Amino acid sequence: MDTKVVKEGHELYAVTDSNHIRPERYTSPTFCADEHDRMWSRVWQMACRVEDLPKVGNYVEYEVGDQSVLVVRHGEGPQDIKAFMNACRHRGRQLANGSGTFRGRKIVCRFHGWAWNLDGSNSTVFGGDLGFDPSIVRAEDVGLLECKVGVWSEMVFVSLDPEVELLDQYLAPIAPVVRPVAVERMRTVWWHQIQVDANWKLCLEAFMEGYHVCYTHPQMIFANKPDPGMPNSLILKTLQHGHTYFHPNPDGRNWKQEYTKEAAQVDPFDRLVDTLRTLSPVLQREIDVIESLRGKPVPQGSSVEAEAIKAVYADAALRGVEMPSPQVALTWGSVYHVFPNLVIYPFFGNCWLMRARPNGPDKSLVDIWLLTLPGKGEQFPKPKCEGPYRSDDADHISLITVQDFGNLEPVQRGMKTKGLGALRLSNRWEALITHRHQEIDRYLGLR
Amino acid sequence: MAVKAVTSVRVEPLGVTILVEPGETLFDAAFREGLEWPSTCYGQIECTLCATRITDGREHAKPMGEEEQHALKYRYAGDSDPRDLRLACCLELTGGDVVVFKSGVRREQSK
Repeated sequence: MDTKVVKEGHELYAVTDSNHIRPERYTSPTFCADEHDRMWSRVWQMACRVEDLPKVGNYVEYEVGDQSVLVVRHGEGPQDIKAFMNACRHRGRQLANGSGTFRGRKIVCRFHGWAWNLDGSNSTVFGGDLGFDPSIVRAEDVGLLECKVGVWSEMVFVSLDPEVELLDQYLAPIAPVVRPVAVERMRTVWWHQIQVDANWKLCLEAFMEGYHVCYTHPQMIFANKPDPGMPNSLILKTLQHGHTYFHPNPDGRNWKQEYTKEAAQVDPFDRLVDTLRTLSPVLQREIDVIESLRGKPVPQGSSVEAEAIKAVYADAALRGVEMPSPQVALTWGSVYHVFPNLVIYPFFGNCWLMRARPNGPDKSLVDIWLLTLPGKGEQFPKPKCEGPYRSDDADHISLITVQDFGNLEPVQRGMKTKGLGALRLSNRWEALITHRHQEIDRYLGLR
Repeated sequence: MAVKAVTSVRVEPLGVTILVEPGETLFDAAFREGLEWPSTCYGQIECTLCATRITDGREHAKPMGEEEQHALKYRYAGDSDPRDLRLACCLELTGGDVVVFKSGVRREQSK
């Protein structure tokens, strides 16, 4: 008889061994509130892209829980980005929502007309001398509340914790692993928002293990039959600060490897193209380039895959794209997780970014960006957020993502089952999931 | 005309000439060029303090939108006839040479 569920209290939900996770960690309003109070208020989190702030005065609102932050470009320099808590120092009115431009280089409250310069310093307390005791509105007390801000790989990170460690230190375990992919040179092709009726952690966990691939994405499996050894084709890495990643095992079975007997009956070219079509960070342009190889003989000692990569690099060279080193090709299929909620999934000269934020325990707002390396002289407009789409909107969301999100809502509901007890995870295949839960517990004071 | 033209605007009585890009408002161009233009709402189409009179080249002004009309009709509290005025924070121009009159425009003081 499991007595732990009788009482609500986050300490009961701690991860005590790496094989079990309490479902309440996904479903409990108390646990969700604890995450806000103790984790979201302290971590570095990706607020927007530098591309969102091309001009002085541009701003983006970033919300997490009931906290709202304004990320503002206050000068022309690459470092001239600040972040402020979105509240007037008079009566607390939010100063702006969504994204846009603070015009005339002023941030103005629409309630009583208090105003600030783009660097957060107060420029106007409307009627201040007449109505306020001077001690109430001293300049040093009425500047906007500033948040910690940092830039990595053209992404702007913020932290609500004034004492947070430097962003460079926070990212030190994962940044060098991601660096060869050249995310910092990529620009946004599109940006979608998706509403998912599932806990934010669940949204990210679909991208932390390969165990679900055989049944959730049958189009991706080799030999057209489920292979229980398939997840062994991924090597999982857990890093400090809760970051994780997996990469393809060069000795395992993946899209670059020899096929099984059954698979050999499928034309290797067809299978390669079919697989690439389903991968989120692969563009139609690359599929077209690879398709142009159809029917051409594969040179002795080469392979369909090697020829495909050559063709993609040749096309990129024609367009003046500076591709990552060919060595990076060995890591394609890797997925990187920046704690707590950012996924980086590169392929070819592209990258898929995903961020999930909680809206209570049972709902999430997911952002997905597709990035690509620009060709010579190629200009990209300021990214425009499309959506929010429903998680089953196959017209706007890729097949893989619809398939992944299709599991999440039934999981979220099923986890509320009375008497279910702890969830059972594979140490070998699902270790990245447990690792993040353990890091969350460190923030919650449970480890 | 296919080519979008920059508009040259002389701001009197200060006597400064600024260039307004296509799609840009007079207000935004002024700040970009280092001027401070009277306002308390800073481009939120509320205070109407940026209201200005076009004294020459009126034909280069794009027509008013609803928000601007509404603000000038119901919120403008100055002495001029609001029918002679445009809000600088809304005013876009189509090229050529324009002269406007606006007291209180000055070169950026701080920084």
